[in-house]
Amino acid sequence: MQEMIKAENLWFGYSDEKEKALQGVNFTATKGEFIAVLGSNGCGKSTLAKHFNAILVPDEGRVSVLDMLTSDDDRLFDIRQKVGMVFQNPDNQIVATIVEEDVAFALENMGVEPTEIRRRIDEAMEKTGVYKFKDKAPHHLSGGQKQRVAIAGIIAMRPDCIVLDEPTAMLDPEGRRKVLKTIKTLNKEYGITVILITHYMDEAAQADRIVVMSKGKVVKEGTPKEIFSQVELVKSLSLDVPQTSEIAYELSKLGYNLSTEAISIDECAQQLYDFLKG
Amino acid sequence: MLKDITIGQHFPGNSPIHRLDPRIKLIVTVAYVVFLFLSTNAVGLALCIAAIPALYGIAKIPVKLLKKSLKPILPIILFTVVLNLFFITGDGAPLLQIWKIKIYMEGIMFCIVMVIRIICLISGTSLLTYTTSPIELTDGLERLMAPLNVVKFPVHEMAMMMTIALRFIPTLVEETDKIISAQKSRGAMLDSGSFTDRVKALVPILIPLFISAFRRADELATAMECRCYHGGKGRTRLKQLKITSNDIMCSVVCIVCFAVIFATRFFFTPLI
Repeated sequence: MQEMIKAENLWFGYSDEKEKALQGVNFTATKGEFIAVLGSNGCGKSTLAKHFNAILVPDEGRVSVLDMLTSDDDRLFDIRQKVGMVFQNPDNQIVATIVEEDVAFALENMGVEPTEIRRRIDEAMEKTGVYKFKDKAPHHLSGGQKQRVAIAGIIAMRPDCIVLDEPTAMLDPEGRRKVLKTIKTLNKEYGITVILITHYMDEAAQADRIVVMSKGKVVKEGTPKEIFSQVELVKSLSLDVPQTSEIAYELSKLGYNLSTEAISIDECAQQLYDFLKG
Repeated sequence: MLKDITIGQHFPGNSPIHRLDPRIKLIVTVAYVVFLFLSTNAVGLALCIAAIPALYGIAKIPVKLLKKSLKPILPIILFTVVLNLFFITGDGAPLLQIWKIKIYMEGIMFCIVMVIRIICLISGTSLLTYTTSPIELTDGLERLMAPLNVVKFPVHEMAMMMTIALRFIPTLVEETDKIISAQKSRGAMLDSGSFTDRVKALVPILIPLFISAFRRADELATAMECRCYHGGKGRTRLKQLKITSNDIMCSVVCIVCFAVIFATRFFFTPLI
């Protein structure tokens, strides 16, 4: 499998902070993967995300995107076109006063021909389900709709990877569900590598792989099952586990023999059913 | 309360005026203002006035809106009237003299002309914003001002700033409303007290507003960089402006109208 993003021994510090925000992070994302990055506030996960498309460059170590080094200024726009980024607050990402103009923004910057822009933004808006709002003003949309417009603006660039920095943190449950569904569709159907930074364990549980960060370091990596079955470790990093693992964990503390690896609701229900049946 | 503020309000429609190329609308509006101030005789002014209801009719913009847009400039009109009435001196004897204030015929004429000009000016320019979406307007401006690039004037940057400003007006208005509510809930007295008290009460609203605006600006800049923004160089546009036969026809009509208005100068005696 081809490596999409590779960070090797990455160190980075902000000038106004004594302690380095990233302390020797190693991270690899292969093409087509869906990775969730977990960690408590201030663990450096947003800082790490900003290294993936050269918004920040490492103090030490190296980050490469499809073998292009992020410190190479000549490849800057290639890298940013390959790795798109979506942030937490949809309001602060939308530039234009009309949805379709905003989706076209990146393509206009890249100097794409107008007819081609039209084709690609229509496609991007279809994929993210915002086509019906294309003539609306962004401030008339809900948070979830705005966030999907922001994702469409990134998808229009046809990136190989999108990095989402807590995209659902400011949304209501309905908006969250739709944004997450959009992200999963992009990953499963269009093969776009997804790196999702989140505080929601149920979102992380849907990823192929979870990377847990703490104090500027990657402390744990593995499939959702591997991570969430270690309930005590996860809790010690001031994170939560999905409710499904939680219930199995609490029950097994009481002496019942249940596995915390059942993290999907179906698996958990089946396990409880089997257990109660004896 | 703040939701009522609308800057550059736009009323979507499909009239010939709505469909007109923004560049032509901009040029015509500027030309209209120039000719408005060039016409000093009754016929020329009458033509300028007549153009307003005619254009509003074609654009199907209700006259009610016009009244709304004229209301806030009423003080300015009054101020101009008073100033001109009392300070313009004529050749003949004054019409009226109260104490040291003398009112001349010329003063009255000048007042009337000025009021007509101001009203036409506001009506004409409002029609531009009513019939042109902000994005078209900035687009038109960017293209009209493109020659200024030669003298290193940052045309694209200006247009981008305008777009972003327009985009963030509703967002910041909403935010201001929220901050006001938050401060009120903590006991801020915004609607009572003396004038100075009220001005002082604005400080705890403006400071959070500014801080959040700067934070937004910072995030927006990062988001724009992520989408490969690097200034106006090599940029293409989704919407291309094209001059259609409709545009050419309108331009010809406007040129004829302006020529007629200008010609009246030579046939009628000026009022002022």
